[in-house]
Order: sequence, then C-alpha cells, then structure tokens
Amino acid sequence: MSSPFARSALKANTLMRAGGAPMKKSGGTSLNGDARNDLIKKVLFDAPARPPVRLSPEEMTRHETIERAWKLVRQQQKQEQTEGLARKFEMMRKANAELEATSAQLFKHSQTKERHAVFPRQLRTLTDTPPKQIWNYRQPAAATPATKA
Amino acid sequence: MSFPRVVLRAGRSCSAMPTRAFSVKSVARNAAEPTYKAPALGVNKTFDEALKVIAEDKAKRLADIKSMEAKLAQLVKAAPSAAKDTEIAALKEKIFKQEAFAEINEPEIQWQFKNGKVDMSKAVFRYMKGKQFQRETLPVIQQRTTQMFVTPDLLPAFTPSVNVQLDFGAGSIPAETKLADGYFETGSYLLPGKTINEPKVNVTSFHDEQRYYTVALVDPDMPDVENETYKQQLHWLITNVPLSATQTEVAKENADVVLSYLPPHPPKGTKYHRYTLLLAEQPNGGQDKIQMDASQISRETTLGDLCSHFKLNVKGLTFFRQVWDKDVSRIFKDVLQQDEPVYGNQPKVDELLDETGQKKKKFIHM
Repeated sequence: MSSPFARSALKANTLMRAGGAPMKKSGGTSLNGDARNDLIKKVLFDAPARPPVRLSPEEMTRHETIERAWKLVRQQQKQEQTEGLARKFEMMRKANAELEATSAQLFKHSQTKERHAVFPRQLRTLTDTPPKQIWNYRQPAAATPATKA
Repeated sequence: MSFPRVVLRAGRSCSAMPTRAFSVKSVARNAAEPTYKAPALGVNKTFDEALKVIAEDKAKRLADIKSMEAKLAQLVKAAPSAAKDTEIAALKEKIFKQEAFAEINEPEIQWQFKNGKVDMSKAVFRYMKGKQFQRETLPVIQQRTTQMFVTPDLLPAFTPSVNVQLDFGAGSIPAETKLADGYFETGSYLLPGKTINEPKVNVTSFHDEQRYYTVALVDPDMPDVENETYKQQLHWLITNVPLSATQTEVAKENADVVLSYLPPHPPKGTKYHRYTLLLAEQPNGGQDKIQMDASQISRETTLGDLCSHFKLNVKGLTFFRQVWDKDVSRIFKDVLQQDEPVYGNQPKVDELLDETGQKKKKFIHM
C-alpha cells in the first residue's frame, strides 16, 4: 500500500533527519510536526474518484425541464430589469425635454458640469478631542478663489 | 438503485416459465414504438415548480399572440403602403417565434423532437428543425461545397435555406459516410451501379405555405475536348414541384418533368465528378409556375443560363461524387446506347528526339 502520499512523506522525513531535525514520535509522518499536512496529502493523493452521476431517462427529462424553467426565470428577470431601465430613461428624457422648452439657461446649467471644481477647502480635519463649538452657523461663507476672480 | 433490479432478475429466472424461446408478448414489446411517458409528479419538487413556471410562461405568450393577431388583422385591412408589407412580415415573424417559444420548453415536445415524431404543421417543430439545420447540417454543406469548389464553378456562393437529401435506396451509401438519419453526407462517393435508378428527393423546407420549386441534377465535370475545359450536363430537370413544410417529397405526378433522369456516368480517365442536385425557388416567392418547352432546354444548358432566363433563386443544394467503374461501361451500353469514350493525357513528346526517334542534330552538314 505504497501510495504517493506515504512515499513522499517518508522521503521528507528522511531528508529532515539527515538535515539534523529532531526525531518525532513514532508513527508520525507529519511534515514540520503539523498534522494538517497529513490531511492535505490524504485529500490530494488518497481521495477516491467520485462515481459519475447516472440519470434514468425520466430523471434526465426532469433535469432538462428544470434547467429550462430556470433559464426562463432568469430571462424574465432580465426582461423586467431592462424594461424598468427603459422606463426610467424615458422619464428622464421627457423631463430634460420639458426643461429645455422651459428655460434655456437652466437647461444648460443642468447639462453641464463644473470643470474646475476643487476639493472643499473649508473642510475641518477630524480630531480625537474636538472643540465645544464644532461649526459656527452664523459665520458668513468664506470667499473662494473662483468667486473672487 | 441497482438492488431492486437484481432482485427482479433473480425472481424472473427462478419462476416456473414455459420453455419457449420467445413469447409473442415479448416480441411485440420490443417492436412497439416508444411512447412518451410523462415524469411522475411529487418526486422532485423543483420539477413540479418548473412545470408551473413553464405553464405560466406559455399562457403569457398565448395571450401575447392573440393581441398580435388582432393587430395583424387590423394591419391587413388598412390602406396599402410600402412600409405596410414589411410591417406585416415582421409581425408574422414575431407571431411565429412566440408560437414556437410557447411550447418549446414542454418536456413532451422535447421528447417528440428527439425521437423524430415531428409534426411540421406546428410552429415549434418548424422552429426547432430550422435551428437544427442551421447548427448541424448547414456548416457541413457549406464546408463541403467550398472545399470541392461547387460554389464558384457551378453557381456563386450562397447560404442554403432549404435542406435537400437524396435517397438512392438501401445499400447505396457506404457505411462510413452514412449519417444518423439514413442519408449520405454531402460530398460522399457513391457507386455508379447504385445510382442508375431515380432517387427519392426529400426536402425539408421551413415555410408554411406551398411554393413551387425547380429541381435540377447537374454534372459540371464533363470534359470539353475542343475548348480544353469542362462543360456542364443536365442529368435531370423537374419544374413546378409544390413543396412546403408538410409536403416534403418531390413527386413527379404533381410536377413537370422537362428532362428525365439520366444516370450518372463519369467516363474513364476523368477525375471525380460532382453530381449536384439543386433546388431553385421559382419567381414571385415561389408562386409562379414556369413553362419550359423542349426547344429551349437541352442537356447542354448551363445552370447559370437556366436561372437567369427563368429568374430562379437557388435555395437548396446537395452533391455526391463519382468515379469510373465497370458499371459505367454497362450504363453506356444499355442506358445511353453510345460508344464509351475513354479520356487520357496527350502522348508525351520527348523534346530531345526528332520524328524518326533519333537524337536531334545540333549541327548541319554544309
């Protein structure tokens, strides 16, 4: 019963002994004294092959029907998702069209983005020992470089 | 699972049975056609739920079909316009697909298709057969046709939309090239002795309505010695063949035979001949009938001329190959009643010898 597992474990053991490692308790073929390695080697080298799944024609029909029904369900879910997205897009498009008809300036403002937006410099760094007054609500807004110019 | 079976077998062998080798009952059971047996319910809950899902989906699709058919009826009544025809065609296509998808997931339909019990009047089977043709048969036909140059030589490259198969009778196909459905693979070699009689032409078209087709068997590899090339020969020509999804056989009774079947006869000394059977749809979507008189058509008419003159649209194609055999001599003697031609290469002329066979003289005597 010389499985690859047993053979490789023995070889490792002899190498270790030659290298000066201390002898372990008898019957211990564990590498580096770790029993988990034995289990890993057992699973890798000694595990038997699983038998193939055999289905009778009736069971095969059941399996195929189940697979088809599942595909149908996923198809229906995807269809719902796509339809929902399409509805949302249509509402957004209508809203934008109405805004365009209402006010050109507001529409332009809604469609464009601030290109020179910068990190908000008034952000307060968080501390472990904050002051009693965190934020002064009555303080007027500080002038930003953009508004200054 | 295996244990009960073993017990059963032991029981049978031990029982006191009469010493008859075969009983009528057992023979009948073996010869009986397989019938569909629905899987039992209550064994697998997921399966029961799957059936419910499929039934719900079918109901939804049938309701959709009803609304689409109502819309179609309205469209047909509406005023004619250029866009209307395309709309009607698109709607009909949608209805066809919905009819197919409503039933395709049912286990009984799947079993019937796998066991060949196909009723082509139902949309679902037409759809499934169409898909099978596209995925399995068509790539082989295309590959063989391009590999053996049938398409540039006989006609320009096209995608067949109709499946044609020839049946020369039992024993005509060598075992290696026989397909699962009993027909030969496109491009197979057939023996001349087996193709003397007319074949049965089986056509799987996927359209519901009846259309008229022209069937032609052409040999593009007959040697043309004067022009040092090859010429085509028409072996068989039948027009006004009515075909549809349910009408699959080419029957001479309903059609007009212009040129009767001439058995393939590749002469000795020529390479393999590609005997191509073509199915061409007649003009106006296959609704027009053609009149061909014997003065217009001969065995030397090329396929290109035939198609351009009568406005035919080639839709299906199959071919087989043949090489000279002793049976070809028999065909020439009995069927064609001609002298058998034997072709060969020109005799090799040695350029270094003159007419008398002597070595050519380099110098002349002054």
